[in-house]
Amino acid sequence: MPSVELKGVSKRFREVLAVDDLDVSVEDEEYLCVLGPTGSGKSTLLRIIAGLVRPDSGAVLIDGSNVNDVPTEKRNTALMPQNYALFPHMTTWDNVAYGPKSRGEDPKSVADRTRELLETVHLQDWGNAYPNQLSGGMQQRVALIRALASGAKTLLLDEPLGALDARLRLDLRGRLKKFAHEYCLTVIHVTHDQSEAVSLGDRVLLLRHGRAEQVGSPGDMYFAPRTVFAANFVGERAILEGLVRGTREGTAELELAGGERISARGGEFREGELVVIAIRCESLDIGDSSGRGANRLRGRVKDVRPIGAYFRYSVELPGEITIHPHVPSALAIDSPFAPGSEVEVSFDEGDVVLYAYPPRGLAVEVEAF
Amino acid sequence: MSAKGRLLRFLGNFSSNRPVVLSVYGASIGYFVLLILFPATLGILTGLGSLGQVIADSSLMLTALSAVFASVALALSVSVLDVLAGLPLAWLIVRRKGRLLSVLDALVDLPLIIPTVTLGYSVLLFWTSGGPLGFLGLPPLSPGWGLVMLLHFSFSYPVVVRVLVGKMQELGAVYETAARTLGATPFTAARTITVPLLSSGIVASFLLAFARSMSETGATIMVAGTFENGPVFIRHSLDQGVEGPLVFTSIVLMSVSIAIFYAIKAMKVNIRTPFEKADVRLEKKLSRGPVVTLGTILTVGTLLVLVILPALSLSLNFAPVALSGGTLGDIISGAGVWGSFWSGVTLSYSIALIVTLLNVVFSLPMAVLISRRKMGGLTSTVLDSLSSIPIVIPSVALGVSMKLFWSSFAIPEFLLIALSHLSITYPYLVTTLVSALDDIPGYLEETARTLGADSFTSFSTITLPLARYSLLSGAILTFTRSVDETGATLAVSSTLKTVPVLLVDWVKNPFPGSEVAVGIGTTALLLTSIIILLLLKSLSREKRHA
Amino acid sequence: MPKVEITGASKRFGDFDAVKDVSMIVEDGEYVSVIGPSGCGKTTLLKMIAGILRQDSGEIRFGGIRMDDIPIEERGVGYVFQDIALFPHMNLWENISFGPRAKGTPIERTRLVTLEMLEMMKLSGRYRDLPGNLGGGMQQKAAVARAIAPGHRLMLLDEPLSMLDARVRSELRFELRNIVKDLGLTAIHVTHDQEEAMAISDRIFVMRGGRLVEHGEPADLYFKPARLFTAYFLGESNIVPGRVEKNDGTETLLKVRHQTISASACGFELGSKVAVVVRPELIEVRASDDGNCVKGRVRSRTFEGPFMRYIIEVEDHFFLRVKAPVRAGVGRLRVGEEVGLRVRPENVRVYDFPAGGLNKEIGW
Repeated sequence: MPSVELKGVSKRFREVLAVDDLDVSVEDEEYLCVLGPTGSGKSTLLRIIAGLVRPDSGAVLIDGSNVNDVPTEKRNTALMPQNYALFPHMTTWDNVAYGPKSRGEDPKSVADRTRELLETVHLQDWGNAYPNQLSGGMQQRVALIRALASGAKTLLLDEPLGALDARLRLDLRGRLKKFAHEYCLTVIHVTHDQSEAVSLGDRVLLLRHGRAEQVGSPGDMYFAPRTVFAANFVGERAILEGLVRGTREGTAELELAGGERISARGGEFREGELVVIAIRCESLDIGDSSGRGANRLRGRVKDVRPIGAYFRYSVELPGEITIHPHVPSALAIDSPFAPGSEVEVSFDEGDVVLYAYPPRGLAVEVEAF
Repeated sequence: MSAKGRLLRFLGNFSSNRPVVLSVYGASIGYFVLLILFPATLGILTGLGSLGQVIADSSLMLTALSAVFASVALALSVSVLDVLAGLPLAWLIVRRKGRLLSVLDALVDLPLIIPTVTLGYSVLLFWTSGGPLGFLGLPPLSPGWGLVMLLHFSFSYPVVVRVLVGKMQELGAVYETAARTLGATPFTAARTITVPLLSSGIVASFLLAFARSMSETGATIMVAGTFENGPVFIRHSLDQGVEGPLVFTSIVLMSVSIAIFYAIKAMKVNIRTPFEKADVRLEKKLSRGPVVTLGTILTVGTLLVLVILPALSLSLNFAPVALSGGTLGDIISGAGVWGSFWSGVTLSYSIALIVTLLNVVFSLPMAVLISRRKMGGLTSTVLDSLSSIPIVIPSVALGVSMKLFWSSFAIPEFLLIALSHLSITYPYLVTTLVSALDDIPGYLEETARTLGADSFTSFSTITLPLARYSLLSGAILTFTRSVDETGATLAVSSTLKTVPVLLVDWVKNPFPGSEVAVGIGTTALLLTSIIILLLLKSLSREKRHA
Repeated sequence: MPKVEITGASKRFGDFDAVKDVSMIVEDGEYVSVIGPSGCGKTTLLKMIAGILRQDSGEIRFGGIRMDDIPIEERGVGYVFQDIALFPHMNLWENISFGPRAKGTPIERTRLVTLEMLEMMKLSGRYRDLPGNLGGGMQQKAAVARAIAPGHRLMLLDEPLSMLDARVRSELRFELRNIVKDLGLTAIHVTHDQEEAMAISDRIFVMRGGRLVEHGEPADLYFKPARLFTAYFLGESNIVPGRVEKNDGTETLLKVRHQTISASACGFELGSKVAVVVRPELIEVRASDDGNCVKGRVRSRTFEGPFMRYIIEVEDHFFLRVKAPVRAGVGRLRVGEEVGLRVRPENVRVYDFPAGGLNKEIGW
């Protein structure tokens, strides 16, 4: 039985439809990442589950029962906002003990549990400190054990890594998941960072304008995005327009804007149809002519930027299209291609995903801003 | 579990119970509507019968109307001056750090705390004959509209500066800094960016000054001479015991005041100063060092000369006399006039205490309703506007209205005075509480609830502690305001006299030694006020460190 | 914009040294980043360059001219704020034209410049919108346009992207660089996101605790960092203690626990304790019986999109992080599998072992 379920939930704030007929199902002890741009309804989703916002329609079910009329404090869903919301006028100890104390639990067992939890996160010496004396990472730990102490079985995390430096964000990612595993919690983790969602989630739910765009395993989301929006949002891809020139046994032959031809799997498209082509940037190999993939495109290197683990090339193809192959640093150091050089970009048929041309135009689906 | 714990849990369980919650909110709305709103606004209507006298007599009506007109003209011009002089000082206090300015910051609060009767008396002494003007060879002013304007400026200027400083701090410096990086001189940046962004603060402070000026009674009477604005005229009618002009002027005063107040509020004024017309070179010169120093001196000078010095001169004048042997003995034993002084003190402080307690208890749910929008946005806005009405209505008119309303219930005078103080202090408390609650982010309480605390528990353990300093300072201000209250008390009291009413009496009906007595009495009030000011300052310092 | 020279700049707040003796030179037309952890002084440094803060000591010169007594509005520097700071009461047009108007620029010229800026930022259709009606990315673009409009040649960007969504950030960063390069401006960009800095800078300055740690071109700093902190802060690194076993000019060998590793040449004496740094993506994974490898067992694996992240246990409590690209046809390792790890000597960097220990040096 799913631990948390939403069935047909909608919520409108004045003219904005924050959540639109959403169906979500989270299994027991699952770590679900809810991914989406700002304004896609992810925070509202969390607040509806927590009971802080009442949906206009639809039902919220926890462990199988409808909790629409159950007040927040009885739902056992601890919410952790982006800035952790540690109570500024209480010490670390009082913060952690707050949940059980409010429920009227026996003071001795509350004290025991608080001490135990502080020890597990190595903060036993900080019991008397106030939140503003703790670093960001420490505050996060306190917020996590506070939620745990309250007996919550479901953790609702609202951009839990957003307030941290980029460096810390990477370092602390793993800790959240470990924590959830150790304490057998169900987690719904909201974020706008797709690399975070893909590396942490057991499953990822992609939201757009309050609606579920796609839900699946990180692998699904990453290798098989179902819409152009998903393809553009998850992972970095070259997004091109193409015209179907012919199909043969499930493979389509496509013509790009500059005239070149490539082939991809896409038997369901018909000749003359306009399609959108998405290729993951790391699938694009650069070479002089020894590339492995079946598809070859000739272009000129416009720019090379070292990103760290990979080099980002800007290659201009005929028709003034620019694509960005990502080449792992280990390979790129050996044979960098300087700006101005003519290169061949190659990729496999299997690395290409095709989509029907979006009715509202391509720009709307891929615009970041 | 402790008794306190059990009580809290008991209350907590109730908070999940919607009907109980609704009745708590209902009670606080009822308190406001039945004890404050209706008596203040509807009472006056019962006196409509006596209007006949006034309408028949055209010269009487004319006098009454010109008194109201004088009130409006006075209030509007003082408020405009307040804003024009207040903006530069607020800007200096917020932008330029420095020891001088933090001293100034503290001093600005002084006139806010000084009871207006004290301020009135000190203005009277300072600017008329016998004061420093004589020393400088300048002709002293005599009681009249000039002195009234000075007085009104003195007590409304600090209010305006306080509000503007608060709003400027809220706004932050980033926009002005951005403007400067784009090439605007400090003056141009302040003019084109900060001032427009302060529009709502400017309007709010303007309206506060306006309301205060329209309302002020006690001190105005002291320095008015033959000048008659609304409150002075009403006082004269009270003295003469004629009901007609009393009711007429009160109604007109109330209606005009409410109309202007809410009209300006609804206008959503956006103050913009044009760019194209600016003389860039001139503004550059205005931002230059020496000019800024000159501006600082002028602004600071205004504050000192018009406000601080008169207030302080009083204590300097009378402290020595008060401390002289004979007088001190009389004061302590309550001999002669000092007997009625002490009964006045007892009356004032006991009323203030009752009023503060009642208001604190009943305004808190109202503040929660407004701030957290428990009954929807529209209800909040309506309640917020309505709760301001007691300060928009000039206090003396409010007193008249209340007296008429409760006259059919035969309630004791003590209670009548208390009810009028209740009404006048209520808006201050609600406003303070609402802005304190607004400052506490909602997500703290929400998180508490997701941890298992019901709404009452999360409110009392999270929001209330965080608001306690504001709650305390709101209570202190309520107390002070009640002690200070003159206008309405004048209207409703006949035999009982609070301290301010007593002092005004002594000024208008002098007796041998009354000058000294008034001086000492007002100074005594001043000293208690300073103690309270220091108390508030230490509270706010604690708040900043917490 | 002639070059920017900062010599020995320091700034103290109370008893906190925000910036300590920082010197740097930025050439005309360069796009440089200043990176470092929160509180390292990078924003304070930027504000001193803009004139928002006054340095306690040291000199700031633009093209040889000292800027000490020149107020903000006369320095000719565009500033982009972390929280965007578009004037909320003015629409986009008024915001962008503010600078020229404040300088008294003739109306026609102001109009032209504003149109140009809107065009360049692809915001032409939104000129009448108030900032509140635009998304974060567009707002920041408008703020950049506003900062450029007065004709400023030096742009200072204070964490311009940190308030934006990850997706917006990853695209807008390149647009920022393109705009600066297309217009021939000079930019100093402050950020705590080292990937951002790597992606768009000609040179990077690394700061820590108010001091400048190192500076150089991104690739140099990444592959051959001179300081341990740089190796730690840029990208990801495995950092483990080791000892120099052999260093005779032909090869350098290090002893890390019970493993012997070939490293790049270093100037350390035999037996000295060192910090050994290897980047996760530069470790090759081979079969466990391949010669010349460090053997280990896969303890965990995480899918990260373009990479698979493995934690490999080499010895008790000695773990290495390995990032391997996900490529079609290449199998993924399973948890528990034995593997061989190899890394090229030039990718094993060696540093002085920090006096206070590794945790103190780079821990948080």
